[in-house]
This record gives sequence, structure tokens and C-alpha cells, in this order.
Amino acid sequence: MRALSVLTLLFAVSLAMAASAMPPETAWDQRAAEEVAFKAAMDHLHRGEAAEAVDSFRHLAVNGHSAAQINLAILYTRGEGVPSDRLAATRWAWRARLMGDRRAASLSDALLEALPARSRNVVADRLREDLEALAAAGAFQAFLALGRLEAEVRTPPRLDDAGVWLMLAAAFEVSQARRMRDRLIAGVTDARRLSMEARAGEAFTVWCDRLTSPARPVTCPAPAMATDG
Amino acid sequence: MLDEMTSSQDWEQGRGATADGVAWGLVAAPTCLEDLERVERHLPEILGRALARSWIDAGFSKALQRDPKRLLQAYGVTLPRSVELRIEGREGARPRIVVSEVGRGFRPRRLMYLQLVMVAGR
Repeated sequence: MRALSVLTLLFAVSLAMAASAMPPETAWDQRAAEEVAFKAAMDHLHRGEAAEAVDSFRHLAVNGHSAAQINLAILYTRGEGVPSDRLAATRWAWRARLMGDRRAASLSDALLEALPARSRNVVADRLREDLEALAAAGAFQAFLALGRLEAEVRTPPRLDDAGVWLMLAAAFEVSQARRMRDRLIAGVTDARRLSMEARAGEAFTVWCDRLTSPARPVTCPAPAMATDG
Repeated sequence: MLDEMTSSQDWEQGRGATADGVAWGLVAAPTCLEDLERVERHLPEILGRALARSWIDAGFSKALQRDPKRLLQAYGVTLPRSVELRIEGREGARPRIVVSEVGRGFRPRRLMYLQLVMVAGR
């Protein structure tokens, strides 16, 4: 007999978030605290206390908890505990998706398709700020997310910008980045590719300067030394 | 907003569009799920997309509530005659799509049900 399938729409993947730049014990403590806070938020929700759930999910979402980001997107979509806000919903759903949580795919697609181009780009600009901050904190997966943002959220897509971000992601050895970069640049002319490579080279130096020591790859140019006289 | 842009009648006739007026689809190409194996493999993703759309689009939600199988047909998804779709939950609430196999000689057998739910954890 065929077992009854209860299918949520979404599948779990593991994430390497900004916490990866922390010492292991600190990262574990933070993760444990986040799970307690997440459970408390879900308990609020089950008790019909949507406003409290939104507040808790929001704190977690800002700190990169992808399940909280998806749930926050759902609550913003439904206008539960907070006024309905499709821009905020789209931002959070895509933030989760771009950082690797495939559970957000259906919702983020539906939300983005329902927005006019100008609003999509408002969301894209906000996401770019979020993701650049993550990248600066050492969460290199954000480089890949920035590439996908320019290709999948920006309307019309900025494929050259996407290519530069994907080249950076590949340089910082983000999983899947080389495959995505190669697929994107396969369709561009040599001249455009050379232009992207030049921009990526300059951006690599800039980003190396923004990174602090533990997260800084050995391939980064040596920091400029102050000299006397 | 989109609610005003595309009515439930438009959706029922496969004329739904995105906010930019681009034709919206459930699948990239006409898809015939001719047996239960294909239904179980492909229908969850298709219905997931439909459910997500129904959350943000009143016209689509009405069309889905009225006749989900017909709506899928209008968007190029053909299901076997023996497969029935039913929406549970009142309009405006979080809908649940129940997929059943019906046939002579046995009661409808539930194959799966789908609902957009809160994510329970990492």
C-alpha cells in the first residue's frame, strides 16, 4: 500500500553562513541559541501570537537563519502579525534562496513574478546591500548569491555584473561557483569576458582589503604597508 | 496590483500573466503526466508553484479553488482521468490540495496532499 505523502514544498540544504568565520565553539553556541529562539517563535505562531512570532523570526532572519527568513516572508505575504508587505516578503524569500535554501524556491518565484520591474529592482538593491555585508563578514557564499541576484532578480538581468560576482565567488572557492560562472560566460563574446575578468581582478583586490585575517585567502595581495618618510 | 490585472476567468483560460504582462506558466512546455508514477514524480513541484501563486494572487486562487484540474489543463498540464484534485480549506485560508486516485470498484485513494507550510527548522 502506498504510503500517504505529506509534501511540504521545500527541501533542506545545509548552509555555510557568516558563523563559519567564528571559532567552532562560539558558532555552536550561537547556533544552539538560534534554535531555541526559533522554537520559541514557532510556539508563538502555534498559539496564534503572530506579532510575537514576526518579532522573533525577524531577529533570527537578520542573523542569517534561513528558515526564519522563509517564515518571515510567508507572514509578510499573508499580512499576519505585520501589515502585508510584498517587497519585504520578496526580499526575505530571496535572501534565503540566494544563500542556498531551496525550500524558498516556489515562494520566491511567485513573489518576484508578481512585482513590476521597478519594485523587483528595489528588492534587488536591498538584497545587494545585505549580501555585500555578509561577504564582508567572511560569508563567501554571498559572492555567488550576488551573482545570482544580478542574473535572476535584477530586471532586466545584468549579466556582466553577475559574471564578475561569479568570478569572485570562484576565486574564493565557493561550491558550485565555477560551474555557474562557466555556464554564464559560455554565452558571451571574448571581449565581454575579458572586460569581466578585468573587473573581477580589481574587485578581488578591493574585497581582499575588506576582509580580516582569518577569512583572507592566501592568494590575496599582501596588504599595503605604511612606510616612514 | 496583479489582483486587478488578471481575473480568475483569465487564469482559467490560461491567460495569466506576471506583473510585467509576461505570460505566466506552471511548466515550461506542455506536460502530460500519463501514469501515476509520473504524477507522483512531477506533480508536487507543479502544484507547489500553483500554491505559491495562489497565496499572492486572488484571481489565481479563485480559479484554483473552483477547478484545480481544469486550471492545470489550461496551463498545459494534463493528468490521467483517474486522478482527481480537490482543494480543502476555505477561500482566503491556507489551501491544501488533495490528490486522489479514483476508479471503479474502489474508494478514492489519496496519493498525496500539498500545502504551503511554515518551515519547521533548518
